Amino acid sequence: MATVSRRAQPAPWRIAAVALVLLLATAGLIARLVYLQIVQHQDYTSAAAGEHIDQTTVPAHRGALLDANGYPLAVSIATYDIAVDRKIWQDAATAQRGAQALAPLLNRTPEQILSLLGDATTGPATIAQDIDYTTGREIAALGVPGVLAQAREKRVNPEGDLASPVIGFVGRDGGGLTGLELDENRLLTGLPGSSEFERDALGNPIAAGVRKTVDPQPGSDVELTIDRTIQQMCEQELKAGIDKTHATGGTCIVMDPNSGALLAMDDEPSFKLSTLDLSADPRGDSFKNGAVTDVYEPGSVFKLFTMSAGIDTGKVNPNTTYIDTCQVVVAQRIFHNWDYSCNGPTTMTTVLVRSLNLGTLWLTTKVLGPDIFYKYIRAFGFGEPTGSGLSGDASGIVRSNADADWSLADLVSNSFGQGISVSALQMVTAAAAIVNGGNLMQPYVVKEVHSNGTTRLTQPTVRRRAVSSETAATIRDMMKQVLEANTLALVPGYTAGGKSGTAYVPTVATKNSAGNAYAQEVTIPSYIGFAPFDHPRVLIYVKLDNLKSADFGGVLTAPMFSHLASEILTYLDVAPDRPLPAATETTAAGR
Amino acid sequence: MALAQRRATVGAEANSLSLLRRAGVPLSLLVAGGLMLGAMFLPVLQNSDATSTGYQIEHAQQQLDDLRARTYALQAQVADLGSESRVRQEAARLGMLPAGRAVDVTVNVPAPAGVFLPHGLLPTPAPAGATIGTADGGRAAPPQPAGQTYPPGAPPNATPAASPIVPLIIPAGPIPTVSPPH
Repeated sequence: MATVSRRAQPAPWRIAAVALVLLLATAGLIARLVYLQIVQHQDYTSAAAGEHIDQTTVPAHRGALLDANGYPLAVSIATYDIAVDRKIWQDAATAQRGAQALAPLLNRTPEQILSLLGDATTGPATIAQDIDYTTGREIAALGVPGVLAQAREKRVNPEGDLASPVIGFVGRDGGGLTGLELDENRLLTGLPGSSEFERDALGNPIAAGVRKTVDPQPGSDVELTIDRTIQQMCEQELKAGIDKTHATGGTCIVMDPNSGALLAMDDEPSFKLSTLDLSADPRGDSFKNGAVTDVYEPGSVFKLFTMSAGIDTGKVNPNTTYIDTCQVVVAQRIFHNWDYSCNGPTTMTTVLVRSLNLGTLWLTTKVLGPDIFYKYIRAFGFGEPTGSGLSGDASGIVRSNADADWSLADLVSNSFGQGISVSALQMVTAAAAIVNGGNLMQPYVVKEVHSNGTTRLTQPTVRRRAVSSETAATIRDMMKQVLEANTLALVPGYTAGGKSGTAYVPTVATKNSAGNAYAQEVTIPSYIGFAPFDHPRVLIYVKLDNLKSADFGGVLTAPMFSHLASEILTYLDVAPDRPLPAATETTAAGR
Repeated sequence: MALAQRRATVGAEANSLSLLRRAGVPLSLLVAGGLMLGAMFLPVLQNSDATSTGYQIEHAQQQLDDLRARTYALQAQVADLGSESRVRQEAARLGMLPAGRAVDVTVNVPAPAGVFLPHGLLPTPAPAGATIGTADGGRAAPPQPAGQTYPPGAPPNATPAASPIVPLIIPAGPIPTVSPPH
């Protein structure tokens, strides 16, 4: 007999409960998926990319600094820095194998390499810097565990120490720190690129992986107005002058007076690129271009500008006469000529030729007055930066009758270049205005910028008219007479004009009871001159610092000008415009 | 014989296909299977090709970097070799001395008869008041003496045009130098 078994049906609420649980679980999973894949999509994508994608910065090739004829003064070459991951090299066997592999390429023993790791156990340790590119590539190709080869650039100066303070130098990061390397850093640096790539477990790029590369844009090549040959002449002449006179330093600047282009610039003492030691001067005080940054009292060279003011206002002319007495008292101060001479009736030309202090005293106190005098001094650019674009472009110190502690004695002192501070670059720029016909030019050192096949040329800039062209011509004529009165300054084969100066150096330590702070035994002799006379090609300024000698600028620095002008004009292929002078008796009229 | 073999081969293929057909596999399914297999291998082939191209690109990029680095190094080397100090050193090694003054001299005498001179060296007509090293450098055009050309026998158009260059006469013996007083 057949039996019929009847299985008990589960209660509907149980089925519903299980379904509900499953439904909730499914909903939870879906919600979680939505949260992870939609809400947090970006975060997880980035995190995943961080695991797989690596990015490196590709440094841009730094542009070169070239001289006026395209000769490189500073260029960059590719090098490598080699570092070791100390964590990986904690394993003695790995470290030993790695050191042995690197030793022949780095010209060191394995022990020397291991000693460079230091005491730390983590982080990278640099074991070689600026090794040549080929060796760096070989080390990278070895694939030694823990060894990192980082591509870099090294700055080299083919001309050695030439124009060190002008060129400056770069830091380890390749950025300019001083000089034109700093001033033109934006142009020279270019734009770094980047390389984004998918990497494997060891961090190596996957060849077929995701890869995005942005090529770096190399920096521009900056061509300067500095001519390496003229720079060399300038430096040699200055060095010879310093060695001969035992001066503490000096400055030499050569400028094209028509454009304001600086053809050479040297200042001593200064750092040398070949023996650069940043640790010796942590504050970096010595890493400057003193011709631009340092100010000093110029002395009688400044009489050119006092005389320019007198001529330009029409109040005097070269033949105007004053009575030169032995001494004059102004504001309870006694003033006299540098040679204590009493010259009687004296023309303005003689004032410059013989560099008579009492002549400029008369001109400023009796003829011009402080308002006109200081107006012209500022018109020549004193008291403001030259606008050269060189860092540390000094303004100088010009006190005028608007200042509280000013007195007439200041006016007199300023008229012959004492009690006023200027930079050497200011002095040359102001003198260029006389030489070029009255225009105060903006001095510049960047001639052209070459970038991506295009060339940007610097146009000479006239800042303002300092004096009329007639005044400038008159002063030039007077400068010619000044130069020709001093045979030491004559430029063989060329007509020229110039003016010497000898400034006493103010030192508080030697301030006497009468309030005189000038040390009579410490001077700054200088000479500024141009040639050829009719069509000036160069304006040369030489000065020697803190000379402990009784000699004057007309004796010490005039021959430096003469020799330098002769060499430079010959180098520039400028045809002589006068017969070579016969041997004559040496005379030095001015200071 | 060959014909017999071919017939046997064709017959075998026909037999295998007919076996599949007899097993119930339609032709379209076979084609689809083939396509699927092809599609499966295609990414492998593409990947392989992309990998190979990637390596080639990487290699080319490395070559480019190497060449750039080499270019920069050579530029620096050329600059070093052409530097002022090295040129001076080499010149001194070769026994050369710094140049003395170049002297411009205007020669105001007629050329010796029968001597052929380059036009640049022919005498200039003596201008009134001409002196050595005049302000204009004495750069007057030299005269054209009849029948004199240089080099002898050269066609007329081989004669240089009136040269504005002042003739440079280097006197026998050492070049005179003028040392400024120091």
